[in-house]
Amino acid sequence: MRYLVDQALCCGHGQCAALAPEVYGLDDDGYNKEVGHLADVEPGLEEAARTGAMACPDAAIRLFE
Amino acid sequence: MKMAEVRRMDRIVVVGGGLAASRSCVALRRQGHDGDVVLIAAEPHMPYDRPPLSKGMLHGTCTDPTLPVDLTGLGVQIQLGTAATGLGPGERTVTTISGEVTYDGLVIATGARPVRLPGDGEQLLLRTVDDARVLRDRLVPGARIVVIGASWIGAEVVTAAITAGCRVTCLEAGPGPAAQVCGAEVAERFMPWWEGVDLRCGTAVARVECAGVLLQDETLVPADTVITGIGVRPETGWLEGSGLQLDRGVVVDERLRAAPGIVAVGDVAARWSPRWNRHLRITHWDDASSGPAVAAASLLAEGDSGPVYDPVPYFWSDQFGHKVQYLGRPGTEDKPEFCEPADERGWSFAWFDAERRLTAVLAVDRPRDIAQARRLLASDSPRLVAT
Repeated sequence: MRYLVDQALCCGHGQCAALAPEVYGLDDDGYNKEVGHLADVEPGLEEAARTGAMACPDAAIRLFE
Repeated sequence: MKMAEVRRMDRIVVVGGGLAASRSCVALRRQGHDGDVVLIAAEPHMPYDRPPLSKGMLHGTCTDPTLPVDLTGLGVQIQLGTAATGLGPGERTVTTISGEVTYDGLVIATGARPVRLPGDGEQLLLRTVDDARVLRDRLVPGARIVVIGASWIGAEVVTAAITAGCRVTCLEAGPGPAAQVCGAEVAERFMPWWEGVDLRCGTAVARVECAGVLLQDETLVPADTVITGIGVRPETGWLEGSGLQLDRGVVVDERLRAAPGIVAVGDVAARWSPRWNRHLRITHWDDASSGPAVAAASLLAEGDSGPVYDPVPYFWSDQFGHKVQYLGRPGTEDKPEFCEPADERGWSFAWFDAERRLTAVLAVDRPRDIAQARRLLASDSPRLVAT
């Protein structure tokens, strides 16, 4: 599984990292660390990745299975 | 969320038609429930997202907030335009305007309805997508719009109205914008955003009449459109006499359980929080978004173990071109302290308890302050020493 954080949509809610810290991290400015490029989800963390993606009020995280 | 044992239920009924109800259906399927799922929704619409109603839909950037989930594809039987009118937990029956539905498990997700002021004049509320469409059509150049309430909804509606070229008056009973939630000190910082708006604070409304809004001092504020945004009340009327504990919401424990086989989630719930040591009545998007996974787990779990739902409350508002974020919950005695960042972009307030522990942060245009606050609020005994 991989994910893509939409640069235009990520506005620093930080809920992805709050709900799924094992998958998502924030940079110093409060935005998702992986904004703008495809990032891998460690095998076994797919459920957490979904939980974190669904926590984004702006649906900025797209998952690719 | 993997459960060791999933209780086999023939039918789970979800009463509600919003985000919490929709996510509950998804969570039940995700967690292995393969019996019936029946969604009973009062509105005639498939579940939709509510934040756009006061944001994108009023600005014209969003025309359809329907949630992008295929509930029919998940095998959910959907009854739209079907209000629930009663609950009989003994018989495990939900009564609706169309008849009775029996259940093995029940999710209550009926949300909350806005408070309406007295008066016979037209008074728009902003709760449904239909409300948003009506309001959007009224926001035309020169229209006299009177918004009652200068809290989050009021500020967002005012933003859309002034963007549309309306003449806007906002009537607020408290000392300033969002003062009831954030206090007078924070409200003072919001005030400069309201230049260009006829904002009248300390102004109490008596009723809404045809010509406009009648204040308690008997002045009439003329209006083409009146919209009221002064708060919501949980939609628990249909549960009167059901035996469930109702106290400004359906009272549930930290696993969202109201009674055996019954959970409640979202705006309708008054949920016990071990972290804050009280029942919380959160009417924010996040509870409807992430609560359902725990509600579903609590329904499906055998035995008494399972996940707890006790997140740090989070809220945001987009108003006057600014992003306001609010994390945590200040105690009644906690005072806000202003933080002006060195880089001059935005500002924040932080609340501390008597032991100097951070309890809440309000950040304007500074997501980094929210990210930092999350780290402090997440730790067991966060301490932030003021410098």
